Amino acid sequence: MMKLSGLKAYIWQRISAVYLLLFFPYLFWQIQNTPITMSVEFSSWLQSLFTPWFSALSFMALVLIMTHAWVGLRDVIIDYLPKERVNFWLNLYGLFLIVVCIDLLTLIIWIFPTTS
Amino acid sequence: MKLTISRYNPEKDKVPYDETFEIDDALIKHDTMLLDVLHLVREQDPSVGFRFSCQEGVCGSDGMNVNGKNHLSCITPISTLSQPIIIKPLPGLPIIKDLIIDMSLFYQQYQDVDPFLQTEPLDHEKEHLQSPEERAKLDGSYECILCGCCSTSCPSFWWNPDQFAGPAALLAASRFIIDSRDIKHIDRLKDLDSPTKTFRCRHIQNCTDACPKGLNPSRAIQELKSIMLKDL
Repeated sequence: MMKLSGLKAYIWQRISAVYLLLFFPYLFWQIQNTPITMSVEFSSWLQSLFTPWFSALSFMALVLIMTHAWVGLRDVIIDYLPKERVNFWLNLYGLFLIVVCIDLLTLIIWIFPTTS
Repeated sequence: MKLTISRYNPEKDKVPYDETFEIDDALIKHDTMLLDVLHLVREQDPSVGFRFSCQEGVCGSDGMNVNGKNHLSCITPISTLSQPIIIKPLPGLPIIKDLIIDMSLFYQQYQDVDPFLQTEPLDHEKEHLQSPEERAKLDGSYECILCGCCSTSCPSFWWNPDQFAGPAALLAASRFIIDSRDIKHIDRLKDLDSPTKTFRCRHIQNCTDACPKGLNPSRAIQELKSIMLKDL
């Protein structure tokens, strides 16, 4: 508990919120503008969607979603769970987010085997 | 007029219960305050417990929850309250008896923000001068009378009264942080930078709504966060 920052979490929650607010409309715009034809496979379509520039933006969005999720649920845990067990639940939640990250990275590597 | 008052005597009762009192309407005038009516109730039942002192909204000792909102009974005109009037102790803190609550945690949080000016050593040859503009910044933050109406209306304070400083203490902290004469500005901000002390505030504005002195603790906390962003 003592290692958790108040101000840093506050700043990152806002930075990530602003970024995601801008990113998601851009993501939908990008999807709308990537043509889908019957002959194109899904993985090929994904590869045409995720240009190097858009991939970088998406990766940043992924990192910031994790940051936003960490701060958000961390606050809920601190607010509502009995403080004797808060550290345990925070560690468990941190572990869960790490597993989610590994899972997503594996998925990315699986979809883009040639580029990764 | 009917008043339903929450009663609790720890020596006799396991849980609080409600008791209804009837007051003769002829005794109620247009400018009668709720505290006056409570005195009439006490004539009927001297065992009804509530705090009061100055009876003019200065001491802050008669805070109570009236019809779901925290008020100071001495400056709440009875004519502004809808019937039946339901009176409970300020929520979120332990009840000592009837409407009297134990405010130790509230005072502890206030004490923890060092609510006093920390300035250069006293020099009898020199005053700690402040410009009118610097002094004007303190308006709206020094008038707090520590009645507890704000903190006891705050859900974040209800959940963690031992960790979250609460609106009253944060308003006091803000008062000294923005004071041009205080030299512990950064230390104070560092002390407040914890996930539990300041950043539990979600700005739902219950505190501002409840403050009987018309202060705005929520805005003060928001300004406190902005100062932390700039100065830490």
